[in-house]
Amino acid sequence: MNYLSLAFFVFFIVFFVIYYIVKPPYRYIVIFAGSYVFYGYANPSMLFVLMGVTVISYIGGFVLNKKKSRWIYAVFFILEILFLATFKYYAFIVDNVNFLLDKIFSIEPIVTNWNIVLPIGLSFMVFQACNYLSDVYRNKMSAEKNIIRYAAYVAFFPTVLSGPIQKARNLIPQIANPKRFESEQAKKGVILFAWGAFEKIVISNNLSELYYSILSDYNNRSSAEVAIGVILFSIYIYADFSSYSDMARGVAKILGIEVGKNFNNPYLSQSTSEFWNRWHISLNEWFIENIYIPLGGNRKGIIRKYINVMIVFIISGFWHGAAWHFVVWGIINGVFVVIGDIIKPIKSQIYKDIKIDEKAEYIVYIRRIIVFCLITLSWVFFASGIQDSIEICKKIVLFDNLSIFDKNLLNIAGSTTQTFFVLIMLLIFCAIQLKRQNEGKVYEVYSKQPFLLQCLPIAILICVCIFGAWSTDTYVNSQFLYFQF
Amino acid sequence: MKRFIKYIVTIIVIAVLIMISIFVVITTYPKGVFHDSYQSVIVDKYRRLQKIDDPKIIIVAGSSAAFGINQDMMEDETGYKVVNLGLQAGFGNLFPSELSKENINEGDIVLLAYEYDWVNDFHSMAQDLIMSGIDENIDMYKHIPIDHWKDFVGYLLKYAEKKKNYEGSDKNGIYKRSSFDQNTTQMIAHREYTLENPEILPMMRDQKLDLSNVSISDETKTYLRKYKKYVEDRGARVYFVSPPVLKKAVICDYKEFENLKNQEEEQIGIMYITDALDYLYDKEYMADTIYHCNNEGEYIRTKQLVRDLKKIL
Repeated sequence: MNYLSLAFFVFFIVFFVIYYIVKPPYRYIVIFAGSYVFYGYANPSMLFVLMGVTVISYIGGFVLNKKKSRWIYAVFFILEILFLATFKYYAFIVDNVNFLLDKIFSIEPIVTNWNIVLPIGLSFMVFQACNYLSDVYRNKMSAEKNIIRYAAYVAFFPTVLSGPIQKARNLIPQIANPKRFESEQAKKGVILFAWGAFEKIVISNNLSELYYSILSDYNNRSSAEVAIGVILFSIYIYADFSSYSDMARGVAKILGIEVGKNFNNPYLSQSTSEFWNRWHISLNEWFIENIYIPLGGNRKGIIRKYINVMIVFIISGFWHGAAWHFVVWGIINGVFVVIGDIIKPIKSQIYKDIKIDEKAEYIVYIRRIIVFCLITLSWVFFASGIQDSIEICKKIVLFDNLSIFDKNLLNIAGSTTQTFFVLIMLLIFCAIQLKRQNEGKVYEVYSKQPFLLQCLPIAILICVCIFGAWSTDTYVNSQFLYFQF
Repeated sequence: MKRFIKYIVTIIVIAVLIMISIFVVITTYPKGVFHDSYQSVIVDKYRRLQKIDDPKIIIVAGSSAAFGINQDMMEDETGYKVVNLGLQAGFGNLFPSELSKENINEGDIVLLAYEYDWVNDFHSMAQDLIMSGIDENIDMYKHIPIDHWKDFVGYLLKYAEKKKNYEGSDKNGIYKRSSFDQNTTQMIAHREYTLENPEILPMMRDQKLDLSNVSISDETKTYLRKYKKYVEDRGARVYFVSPPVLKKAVICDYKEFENLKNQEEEQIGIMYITDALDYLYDKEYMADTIYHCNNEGEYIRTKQLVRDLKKIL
């Protein structure tokens, strides 16, 4: 079920009413039932996958509660990952095995590709189930005995499709002991949801069409156009993913549940490692807790640390997609982080030697621009196949300076008016995202306004979203990018 | 909880008021921008339908009826008033069908004369044509089915831009308001066979009619069955009749017309009172598309239709 649909609107009204009518100790049943309706709405057969993920990790938690064995933890962890691998990577593995058989042994394809359909949100629910196993294994919580309550955690509908990936120790207690309804929290939830809808419909969907029209035709575009296309992708992917996270947070807040921020203005980062602490925070924390630290983290020397970092980024690349260009994207970002770490003391020394304050505003801006450029270049490999990505990067690196004087740049969005409209929307988006650095203060100012003035901007946002959604085939391309992960 | 519900309800009310205001402002200001356009004649046809309570024949079709019905002749020969809602197939078939429901009374006869494309795409509605046709006549928007509202809301801002940039209809051609009688909405413009002229768009000139293996969608059948019930509940009758078609544009076996007729009668329950083959005309009776009659063709077609109508009158 898509957040931006009439079906969800109706579903949530009914859910909200039932949730707050039911006594708090039994609300987890409502979450369970509602989440299963939400997840199974488009394709009920996918509920079997959800149940499978739930039952395996539930049993795993039960067993781990009785015996904290590294091998038991590993078995159940791997079982969960196998679930993911089967659905997500089967076709990829088959294609590559057949490719190798053909290239090395000249053998016809012998492995059948069964065209398995990837259940939406599978990566997120599997990782959420793994978080539970990890929390039980590491004694951060006891196993949840109530299978319905546990199932409600795995299937928690605000986050099941695209995160943020929840930690069991954070979410299960909130499900088990729901708070009383708080009007201010619910209002914050509504504002977050409305803003998320705006991000998706006005920013993300418009940028999606625009960047695609440029990058799919990069051969016939100038360097400046391709560079703009790549920058637009950078903002698009942020807006798209951030929008879902905001809507998820908003919905959860209305229910009195905190699911955590997933983005913290990542493009303000001054280093690539900082970027990965601000981008998809829940996934980053998952990799740190479940891959990086178990591999030894930074406790086994500097070389091992860098190897562990690269392993995490390669796995992250794979997680994002069953295709080699995602792996390349992961490797590039891993290399950036490693190099960043290596040169950090060298940079500090240079600043000292030339007597420049590292924290000076202009230095901060320069670092942010450099990080943005590096991350944006890496996104090219996320958006396109390897060969196309190389060609796009070549076009940017071997930049044709004259292309920035091309008058057609003003019509890059179709017309000059549309280009300026996109620019204005982007500026509004960036300005508001910056203000959100201090959400508490922003809300404080908002809540001091007269009641009607509080309602008016949200109503305007909704109107803009409706006009935006219905003026394109948005109900078709409302598929969030990260649903495919 | 009460405060929160008050907050949500207020937001929704304000949002609805904003959208209604935007809709009213865009559609009503400035007035009459598209008044000289071809599609604005739909307003006159609709007002004529509203005014006539005497037993009448209501023709629901696209432009084949605008070009192919002589209202005066039909009225004289049948004794019924004629309301010809046929104007523009580009509206879609759903729109004139819904408009016709405005004033159907006991004794009326509704003739569904859709161009044959209807079997492939009955439910689409061209919001640009419809909105520029009805413009500030807000009462006509009630005939837009609710499941199409989002298309019209989504088009609103583009419509405002279209209004701002409109430079008037084609002064030389047929496709303007002045091609119709202001009182009766009868097409009065002179038409000749121009389909093979170079200025005609290739997609019009090369248009063919192929009814091979045609099948009416379940959604369309359901709609037309409900439409039949709507008409009959008001004491009126509804029939299918054939549109005029350029004979040489037909590339399928003629028995496909019979297949379609059988589907319509058996699966929808609306009787066909004409023989489609009688309405296949040579080019000397046609105009600028395969469905448009010239003046002589209009006379022939109307005569045949009256003859077929008299069987059920």
